[in-house]
Amino acid sequence: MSGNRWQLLAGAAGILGLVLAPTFLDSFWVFFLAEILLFILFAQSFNLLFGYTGLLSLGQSVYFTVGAYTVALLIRQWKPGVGLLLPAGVLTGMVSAALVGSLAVRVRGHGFIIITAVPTVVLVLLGQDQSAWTGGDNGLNIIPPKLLGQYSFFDPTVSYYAVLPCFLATMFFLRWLLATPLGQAFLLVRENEARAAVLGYDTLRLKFVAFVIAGGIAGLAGALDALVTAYVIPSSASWTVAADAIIWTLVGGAGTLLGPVVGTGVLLFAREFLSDIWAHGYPLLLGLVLIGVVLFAPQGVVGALRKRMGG
Amino acid sequence: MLLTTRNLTKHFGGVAAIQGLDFQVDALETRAVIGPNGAGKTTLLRLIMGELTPTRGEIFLNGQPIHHLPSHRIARLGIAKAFQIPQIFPSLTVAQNVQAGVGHGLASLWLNGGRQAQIRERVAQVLDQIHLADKADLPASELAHGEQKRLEIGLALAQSPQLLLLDEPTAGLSHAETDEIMQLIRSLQGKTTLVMVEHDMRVVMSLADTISVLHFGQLLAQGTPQEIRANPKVQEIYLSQHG
Amino acid sequence: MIGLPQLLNGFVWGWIVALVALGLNLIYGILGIINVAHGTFYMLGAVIALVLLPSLGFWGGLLAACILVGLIGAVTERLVLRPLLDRPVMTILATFGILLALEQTVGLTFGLSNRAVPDPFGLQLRLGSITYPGYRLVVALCAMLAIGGLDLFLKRTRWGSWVRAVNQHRELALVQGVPVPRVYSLTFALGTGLAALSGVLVAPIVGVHYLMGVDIVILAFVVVIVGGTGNLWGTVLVAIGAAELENLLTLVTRPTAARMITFLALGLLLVIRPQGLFGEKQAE
Repeated sequence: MSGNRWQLLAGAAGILGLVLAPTFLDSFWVFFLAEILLFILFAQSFNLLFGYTGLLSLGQSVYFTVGAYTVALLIRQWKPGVGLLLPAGVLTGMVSAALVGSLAVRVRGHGFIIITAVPTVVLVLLGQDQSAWTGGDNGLNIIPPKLLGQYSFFDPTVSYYAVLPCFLATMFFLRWLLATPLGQAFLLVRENEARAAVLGYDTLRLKFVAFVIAGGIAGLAGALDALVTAYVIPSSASWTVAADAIIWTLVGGAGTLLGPVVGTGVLLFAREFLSDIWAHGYPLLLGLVLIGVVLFAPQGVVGALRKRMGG
Repeated sequence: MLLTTRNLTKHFGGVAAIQGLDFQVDALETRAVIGPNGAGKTTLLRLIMGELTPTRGEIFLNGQPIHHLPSHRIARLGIAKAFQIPQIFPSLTVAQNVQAGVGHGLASLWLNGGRQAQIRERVAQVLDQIHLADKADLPASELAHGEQKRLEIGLALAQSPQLLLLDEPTAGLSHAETDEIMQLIRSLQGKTTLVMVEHDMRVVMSLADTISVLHFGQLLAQGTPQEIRANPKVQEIYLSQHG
Repeated sequence: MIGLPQLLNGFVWGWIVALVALGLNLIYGILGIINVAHGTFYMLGAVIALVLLPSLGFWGGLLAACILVGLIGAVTERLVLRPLLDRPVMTILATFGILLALEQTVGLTFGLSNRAVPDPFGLQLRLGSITYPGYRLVVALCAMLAIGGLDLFLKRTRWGSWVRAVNQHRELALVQGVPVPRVYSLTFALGTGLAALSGVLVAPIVGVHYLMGVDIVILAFVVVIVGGTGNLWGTVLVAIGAAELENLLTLVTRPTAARMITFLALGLLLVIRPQGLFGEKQAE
C-alpha cells in the first residue's frame, strides 16, 4: 500500500513539474521538452505493441508520418483548427494501421516484422514520388493554425501546452486500457499466443486491436510533431525512425509505462548535450549504448531498477 | 453423445496420424485414450481443440460441427484442454493465470466491471481446487514442475468446460504428485466430461469409465478397464511393451 | 531494342540483391540473427574498395574488402552476437547498434557525401543500336560465380556440410562433433563477406555513401522471406524477379513509383504466402 502511495505522490509531483515547467525553463528547453513528450508518445505506441502484446513492429514511423501529413495537408487545403487536426491525425493513424494490421497480424513470427517494415519503404517512396504534395526530399513547411484562435505555435510555450494535455491524456488512457480485461488479454498474447487461443481468446482480433490503437497513438505523436516543428518530411516514415522508438522503449524498459518515458528522456537529453560538443557523436554513442543495454541490461533501465528493488 | 468424430483423418506430409477414426464420448463420462507412442492420441486432442484442421472427416460437439472452427471458438463452445507440457503465462502470477481462463472473449472484455467480484470468486475457487491458493501471487514461472502441471489443469478448469481434454496430466510427476492429480480428476468426475490421454496404467485403470485404444491412428479396441485388460489384441500391441 | 537496357539493368541488380539477400539468409538461418546491420557491411565493402582500389587494383581491392569485412563480421559475431543466440528480438537491437556505430564511424571518417568510383574497365559494349557498360555484365557474372561457389561450398565441402548440419539441427550437429561455435563465426563472416562483395561490385555503378546500406537491407529481408528462408535458388529467383519488375516498370512510370510498386507486390506476396513462394508450408 505504501508503495502505491509513493507512486501516486511521485506521479502527482511529476505532473505538477510538467505543468509548471515553462515557468522556470527558458524557451529553448520548453520547446525541447515538448518534443520529448511527443516522442515519448511515439515510443509508447511501439511499447503497447511490443512491450504489452509481444508484436515487434518495425513500422510505427509509418503511422507517425501519416498523422503528420494529415495535419500538413489539411492545413494546406482547409486550415482547420487544432481541435480538428489532432483527432484527424489520430484517425488516419488508426485507419492506416488497420489497413496494414489486418494483413500483418495473420503472419506469425519474423514475417510480421518484415511485413510491418514494407510500408515504411513504400511511404517514403510515395512521398518522394508525389513531391508536389509532400515536398519530397525537402519536406514541407507549414503554418500551424493559432491555438484557440490567438496563440501561435511558433511560441514554444504554446507548443508545450498543446502537447502536454495530449501526453497526459494518452498516458492515463494507456494506464486505464492496460488495466481493463482487454489490456490484460494483450499480455496473454505476448506471453503465449497459442495458449490464449485455446483459452478462448480471439488472438488475431486482439493483435489487430492493439495494432490499431498503437497506430492512433503514433498518429497523434506525428500530428503534434507537425504542429510543433511546423515541418513534415516523407523520410520520417523510414524504418530507422521506427527504430528510434524501439531503442527509446527498450533502453527505458519495454512492458512498463515508465520505461519509454525514461528511455526517451534520457537519450534525447544525451543527444542534445552531445550535439553541442560533438555533432555526430550521438548516433555512435547510441549504437554503443544499445549494444551495452542488450548485452548487460536486456530489460532496460526501468526493468533493471525494478528487479534490483524487488530482489 | 457429447462428442462425435466421423471418419476423422489427419495426414502430416504423407503420414497418416489419424485414419478414418469414428470416436464417441458420452456426456459426463471419463474416457481414457491409450496407445503406443505415435498412435495419434495427442493429434486427436489437437484436432478436437481446433489446433489442427483435419485432412478429412468431421467432429461434432452436441451434434454441432466444430472441425472448421478456430481454437478460440471451440473453447467458447465449452471445450478446454490441459497441455502435456504446461503452457502457462510465465511472467503473470498464478492468480492472473487462472483469471485468464475465467474471462475469455473480446465481447466480455470491456463490460465486465460488474462481474469483477464474480470473477474473483471463481479464481479463488479454482485455486483451492488445484491447491495453489497459497501461491496465488507468485509468478507462474517460479512454480515447481508438479505445481505447474496443476496450474495447467487449473487454466482449463477455470473455463468451466463441459468437455475437458487432458493430455498426459501425470507425465513427469512423482508418485505423490500423481496421486494429487488423480484426486483432482476424481473431484471432477461426474461433473465434467473428461477425455484424457495417459500413459500411466495405474491412473488409467483406476479413473477411466471407458478406455479407447488407438493404434496407427485407428481405434483398435474400446471397453471398460476390465475388458481392455483382458483384450488379447491390446495385450499384444500395447500392454506387453510396458511390461 | 526498347527495354533492353532496363532488362539488363534488372538482371544485374537482381544478382546483386540476391548476393546481399543470401548472406542475410545464411545468417538468419544458421544463427537466428536478424541482422539489420547487413546493409552496413555492404556499405563497408564499398568504402573499403574505394580506399583500396587505387593501390590494389579492382580484383585485389575486391578480395581485400571481402576478407576485411568478413573478419570484422566474425569479430562482431563473437563479441556482440554470440551471447544473444536464439534471442532474435535482441539481435535486432544489437545489430541496429552495430549499424549506428559503424555507419557513423564511416560518416565521420569518409565524409557524408556520395563518392563516385570510376568504372574499373571503361568498356562499352555495342548491343545493336545501344551501348551498355561492360562492367555491369562483369558484376552480374561475379555475383553468379559467387552464388554458384556458395552453393558448391555448402554442398560439397566439409565446412559446408557442417553449416547445413547446424542449420538443420543444432543439437544433433553438436553431438556429431561439428565445431558449432566455429561454424557460427564462419557463417557470419561468410554472410557479411557476401554483403561486402555486393558493395564493392555496385560501388562503380552507384558510388559510395555512408547510408547506402539502409534501404537495401529491407529489400533483402523481403526477398529472403518471399524466396523462402533457407532456399538459395528461391532467393535468387525472387531477387531477379523483383529487380526486373522494378526496372521494366521504369519504362512506363517514374523510378520511385516503379520501386514502390515492386515493394507493394513483394509485400503482398509476403501476406499471401508467409512461408515464402518456394518454402514448404510449416508443420502445424
